[in-house]
Amino acid sequence: MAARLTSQCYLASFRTLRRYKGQLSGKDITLKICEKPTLSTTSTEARENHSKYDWIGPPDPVSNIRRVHFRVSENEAPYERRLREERAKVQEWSHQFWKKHNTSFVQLKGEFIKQKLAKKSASRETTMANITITPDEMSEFYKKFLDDNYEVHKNYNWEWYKKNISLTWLTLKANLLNIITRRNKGNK
Amino acid sequence: MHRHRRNYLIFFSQCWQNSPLILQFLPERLLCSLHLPTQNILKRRSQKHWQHSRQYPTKPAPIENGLQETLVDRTTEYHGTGPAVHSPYKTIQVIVPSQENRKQLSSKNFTVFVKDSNLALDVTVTDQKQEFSIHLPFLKNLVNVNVDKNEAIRKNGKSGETKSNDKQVNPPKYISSGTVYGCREQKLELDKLPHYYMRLSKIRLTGLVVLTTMAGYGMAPGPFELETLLMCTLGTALTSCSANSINQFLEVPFDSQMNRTKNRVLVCGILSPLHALAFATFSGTMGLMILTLEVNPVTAVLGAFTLGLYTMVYTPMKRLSVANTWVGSVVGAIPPVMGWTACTGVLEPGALLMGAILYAWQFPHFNALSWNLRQDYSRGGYRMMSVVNPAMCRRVALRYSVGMIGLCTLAPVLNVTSWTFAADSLPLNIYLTYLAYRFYKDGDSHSSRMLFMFSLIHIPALLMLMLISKKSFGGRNEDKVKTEDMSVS
Repeated sequence: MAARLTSQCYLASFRTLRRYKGQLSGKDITLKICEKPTLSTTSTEARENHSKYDWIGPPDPVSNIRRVHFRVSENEAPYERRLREERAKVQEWSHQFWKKHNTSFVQLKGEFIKQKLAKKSASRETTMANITITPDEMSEFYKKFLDDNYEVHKNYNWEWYKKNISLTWLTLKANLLNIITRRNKGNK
Repeated sequence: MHRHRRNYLIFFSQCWQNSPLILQFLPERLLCSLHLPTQNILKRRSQKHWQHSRQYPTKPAPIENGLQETLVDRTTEYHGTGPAVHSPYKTIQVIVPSQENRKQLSSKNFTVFVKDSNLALDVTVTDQKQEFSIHLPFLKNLVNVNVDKNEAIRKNGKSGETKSNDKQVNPPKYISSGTVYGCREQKLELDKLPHYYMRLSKIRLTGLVVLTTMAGYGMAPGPFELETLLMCTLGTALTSCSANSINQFLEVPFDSQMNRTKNRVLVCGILSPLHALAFATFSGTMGLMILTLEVNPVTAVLGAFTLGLYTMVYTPMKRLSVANTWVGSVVGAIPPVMGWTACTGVLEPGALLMGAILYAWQFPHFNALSWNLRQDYSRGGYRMMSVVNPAMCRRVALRYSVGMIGLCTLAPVLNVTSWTFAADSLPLNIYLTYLAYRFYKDGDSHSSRMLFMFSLIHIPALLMLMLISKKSFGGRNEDKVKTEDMSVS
């Protein structure tokens, strides 16, 4: 019975989905409950995921990197597995980098603002409500931050270009091999 | 809606959904015209019925407290189009493994991907056979998840069965946490593909580039051939699409950081990077081939040079040095030169002048634009003048606005246009210089916006003035009159 029901795979037309995207009233939901895949998805339970495609989530609030839940197919080939793992690794690496970078940006910006406000309130006799920081003053901070992180960005850029190219190359190989060996995976 | 009719529709919808997939991708209008029930109709009908007959809480209940853990070992699916859907509450059932199987599993959470609503829900569920509710705040829907040890899947029989249907959610004491977030299946929708390609190739920017190319063609003193113009336009457009696609391919994590670019196609995962690269390769090859075969090799070389400069030099340099603005200006200056060479076949001083005018225009345009994006550029790691050296940013904008006056005066000297152009472009250039001066003095967001907006009007107006004052048809008569005068006297 479970098998029969799992074979009723419902693939919604995305146009239908989009039309209902903004609506808040009740509507039919197709719920698919599967095990939560971890970012590295190497566990055997991940194979239970019967979706045909990857799912992409929202941007992370800190790192702004979108997390992709990778689909693990039943007869996954070794090159596909490698591709999936590489993608997960790169995603995690990007996420960690930007998380660290953005948290330090927010933190340093907060400190800078506090310092500036303190200086301003010390130098004047006016009330706190009148003290603001102009964009020109903020731009001092922006410049400082950018200059301080120059090496960090340079390294990240170089690494990112290399990883991006290698991932694309792996995807190309995987797709070509899939076509040659006539596997029907449905995903690109 | 009558019960039998509803049941018929539900039955039919089940058959429909088991039909070959291709049928499900038929457009809804077609389905409606064939009187086949689309999901649309079913939903609307069930909603109407429900709304008349049920009360539902207007304020959605919170999700937080009282969730506990359990394990799930299988994927299950449920269609909500059954008789249970008389309320905004949907019920699904989860298979819970028997006691012995649970130990083999390492993860204790599961994720509910809610396709229709593009949501995903991370849930950790209780150990017991219990019914608990998860509220989806985006939809104001409540999802009842019955955890049933029978390892069978049932739709919730009647709407009145579960307790939480009719009233506020009891904060269930056996679900420890749930996070709801929007999630999307990465399936490529072929019907929206042209739209995605346009977004990928930054179609508006490409359109402006093509317009400058056409202006360059129009200004060139060669014969006007419509076919060559069209081929040049097409080739430039394709090359520009390719360049923009490669740019987006290379900059995915950086684009995701900035507000202006975070909704790009690759950042949202709508197309895969390989797809974008394939599109870029295809359009670039086609564009350059068209330019080589249908126009002339000079234009093709210029096009290839622009493509290489933009993707290989400008894109990485944006993050390494302030000089990227100058390189980018060269990239923007080449299309009119390409248009000129498409017409005449040689690089003349006039072509270089057209290029120089566009080059000079880029600075007030871009510097004003980047002035308000300083925070995003700083956080994203882009080294732009507005962040790195704000004073230089404003100085350079002013400098090139003044230079624009000089270049427009140079146009008649190089026999590109008549002196009329030098005269009637003066008001435009003077106003541009005035706005750049205000930007230089004030350096605030208002002046930068004014400068940017005006620069968008300035260049089309300038190009039109150039076209109407073109030397080879407008100025020729004046030249003849002068030479006649001189020969007579």
